[in-house]
Amino acid sequence: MMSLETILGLAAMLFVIGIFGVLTKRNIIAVFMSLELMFNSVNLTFVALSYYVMPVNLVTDLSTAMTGHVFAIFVIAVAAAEVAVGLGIVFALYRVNGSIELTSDMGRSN
Amino acid sequence: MIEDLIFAILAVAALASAIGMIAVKDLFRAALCLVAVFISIAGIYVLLNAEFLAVVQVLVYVGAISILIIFAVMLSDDVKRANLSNKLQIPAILLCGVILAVLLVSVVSTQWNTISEVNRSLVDTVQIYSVDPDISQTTEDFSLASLLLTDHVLAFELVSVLLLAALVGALSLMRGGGEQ
Repeated sequence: MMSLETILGLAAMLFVIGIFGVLTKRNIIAVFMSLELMFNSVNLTFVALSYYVMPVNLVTDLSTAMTGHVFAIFVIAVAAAEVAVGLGIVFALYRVNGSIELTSDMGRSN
Repeated sequence: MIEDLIFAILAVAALASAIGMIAVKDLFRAALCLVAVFISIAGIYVLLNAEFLAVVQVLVYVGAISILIIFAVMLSDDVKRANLSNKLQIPAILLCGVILAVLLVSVVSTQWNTISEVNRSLVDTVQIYSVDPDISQTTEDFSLASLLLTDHVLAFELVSVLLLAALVGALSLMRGGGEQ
């Protein structure tokens, strides 16, 4: 049940659900939430590969078993920065536009 | 055996919450579904020897990012009907189906070089004790902290600069730019 293929399949499904949300949601906060879902599925992929896949030179360097975890930490840090700036943009958009709906007449209200 | 059961529960919970996040009309409930996805993924991290990442996931995603998102949810005019979709649903479903098919086919058809039984316990030891400095002092130094400050030090410093830039950028955006 718990194998590399099932975990990668789960991550792929979460990623695709995130893409669907990014493409179809009309509210910019919902688009943000879908983006976070995609970040998480990629992190899940990193950790699963780090757990299951043999590092090339494990015998000479034990720390190669930790590379996936290090990458996941960097992804989390970049995602945190992205959320801070992105929500700042949302607030600026709200101040200019009076609404955070992603519609075709965005920015034409004033 | 028990690991398989726990993984099945967590995977079903993550998928159901993710679908609920897309399907629910109430934006606040969608945010709560997203928190449920984050917690399920943290549980899967624990199963995959990544305890430190599970803690970071709970602290950063469940603690900080979801609070920011719920704070921003209040900007919506009508929260109860704010999570609607646009007219692109049918093409989006088609595109997502194609992407999912490509991903699943590539996962199944790849010959993964999985860890053999001989090396399994070695990798388990490295990953479980990577946050324990005492163990890594006695053997080879493979702790996560020293790895971040030796092999990956350039990326580490760049991330710190990126976080500083994000902090300043978010502040200037929230204060309304330079028009005052």
